[in-house]
Amino acid sequence: RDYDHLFKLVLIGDSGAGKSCLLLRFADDAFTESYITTIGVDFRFKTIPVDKKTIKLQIWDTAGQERFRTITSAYYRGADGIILVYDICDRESFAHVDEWLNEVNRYVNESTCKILIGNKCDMESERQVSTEEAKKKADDLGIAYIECSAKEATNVEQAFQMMSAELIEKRQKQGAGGRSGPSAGGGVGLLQPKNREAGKGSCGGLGSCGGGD
Amino acid sequence: MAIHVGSFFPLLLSFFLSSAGRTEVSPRITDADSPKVLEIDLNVVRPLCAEGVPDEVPALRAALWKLLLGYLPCDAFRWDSALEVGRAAHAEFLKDLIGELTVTSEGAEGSRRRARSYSHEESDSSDPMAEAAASEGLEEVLDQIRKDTFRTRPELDFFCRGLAPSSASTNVASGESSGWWQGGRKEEGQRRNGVQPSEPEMAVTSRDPDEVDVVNPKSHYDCLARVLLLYAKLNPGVRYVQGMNELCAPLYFLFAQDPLNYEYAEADTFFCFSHLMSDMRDAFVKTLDHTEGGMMGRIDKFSDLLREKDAEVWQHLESIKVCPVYYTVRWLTLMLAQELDMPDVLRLWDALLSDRARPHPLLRYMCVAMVICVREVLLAGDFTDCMRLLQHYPPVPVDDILQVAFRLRALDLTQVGFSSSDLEAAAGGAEVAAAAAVAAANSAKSRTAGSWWQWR
Repeated sequence: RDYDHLFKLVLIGDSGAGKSCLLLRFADDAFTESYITTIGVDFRFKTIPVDKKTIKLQIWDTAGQERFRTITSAYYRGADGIILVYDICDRESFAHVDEWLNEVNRYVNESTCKILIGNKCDMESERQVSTEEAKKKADDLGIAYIECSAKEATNVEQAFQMMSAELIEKRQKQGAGGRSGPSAGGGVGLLQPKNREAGKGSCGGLGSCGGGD
Repeated sequence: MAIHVGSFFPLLLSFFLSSAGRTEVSPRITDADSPKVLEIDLNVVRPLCAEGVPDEVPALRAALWKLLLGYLPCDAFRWDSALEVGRAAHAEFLKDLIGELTVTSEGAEGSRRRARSYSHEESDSSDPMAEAAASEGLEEVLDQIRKDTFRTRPELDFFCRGLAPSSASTNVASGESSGWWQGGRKEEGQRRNGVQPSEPEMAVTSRDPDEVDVVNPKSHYDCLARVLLLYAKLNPGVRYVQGMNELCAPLYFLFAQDPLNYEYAEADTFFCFSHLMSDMRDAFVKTLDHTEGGMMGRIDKFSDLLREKDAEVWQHLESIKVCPVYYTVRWLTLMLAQELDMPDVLRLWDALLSDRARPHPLLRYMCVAMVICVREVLLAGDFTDCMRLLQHYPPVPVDDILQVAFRLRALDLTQVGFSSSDLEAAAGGAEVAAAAAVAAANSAKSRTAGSWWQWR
């Protein structure tokens, strides 16, 4: 086996939020304005080093339209992490965050790690959701928040790193029988992306993950 | 001044038939003395079309698809009138659609808004609430259609290309669209995001959903969006579901290449798409997911067929937890449109549309054949390998897989003995043949009498 940990991540969020583009940027370091519509699910792998460990990520990219949600639920099974994406230039995609979380919580367990991504942060002039508002939302939900641009490769790698670090920490805690580590509660202190307050809003916030010790 | 195809078609068809070496089955003129009826026998056309229509004659393929989809009647002498009726009706539909769009939105430009914050009471109509509600529903659908239209077949430059300026300007009034080579003038589009299409001198639109304009269409993307929007409006039980853009695109692409009818590509696409959707619709309706014709029903049937044809692969995929729902949703709902390049889609659809039974059992056989053709790799692979392979299917000659699908189907249709050498002769690659031979052997073991009709 050529990796230390294997994590299954699922990308969800409204159609057009840029889920496929984030994945394309992360997996292939490429970008296109006109990525084909995702129907059902698309599937990619990437192996990354995190904190001296080799992490294999199995990433499921789902269709955004409401119609596909019944089918999408089949893809949530066994997910270690959920990446919820909205478009900072589309308020409606942000308004649907709660809906998406409700949907996903029906299928995943408490310990599944979740993260909120505001995509297209390169388009500042068309922004409809402020960073502060999104951050508050994420804090209320007890999940981490990060703003990315798949187009300009801003924070994309970091978002996946952040998620992976959180998952490693969680798994190690489980393995060590609930040992309390120095970073407990502080989340992924070693990988603070920009736009994120230290020690706040990590996946551990409301016990969605990382709070099991 | 469109050239009417009805009188021209018998020539094309006899060319097609004679080139296929089947002169004995040319169209039957039922009244020999004064031919008033030119009856085309679909039983003759279907198997020929299934073998593939020459790419060099888009007019022939377009006519055959219209015939097979039921847009054109079997009597070729009635084609001109059928097309006239259809196109006139489409013009009326468009007038209503555009009227509805412009009533409550802030003029034509209103439809370009990025934000979906629909303005509330701006209607001048006598029944502002109802008008606004209907239009708001339409706007919402249009927003989704916009997002998908501009990312339909991004590998093709075609959809970015402009319509002839003259026809685009008369479009609202006449409801007619036109072909892309009619006018030589190229317009400079506003490329807001700085993304250059591969051949910028041919393109008038950037790939930006905000620029999709269904009121004053300038590019083929606009026409494609309008077909989908009109369908959504007239089929409120289905509306627009992602993926319909992929089903619509090959029809429009083909009809716009037809030198006899390109001016009416949009109208003809609308009707043919509606016919196609009558077979595919249930797969797009969420509430029908668990019915026989719904998404899960189709996937279950696929899984049953795979199990019957290649139990070993089926068992392997089950054991490593590669569920069919992980890779067949796209295959089955889009008729493999996203798995193949456009020329291969056209070739495959020659066969799928020729299928007599509905909804396209051959599609299911084709999907099973795709799995069987890579069975050795699948059997040696783990979850990752198999998912990667099935999700990103390797470029394989579509005809090879199609031949395997035909054989698998023929086996069920005829219930006669079948030797693997038949298959090798038919299938192009030895690898494909070998893979399929194993499947044939498997299926011979598991086949039960009288099961063929279940797949119809």
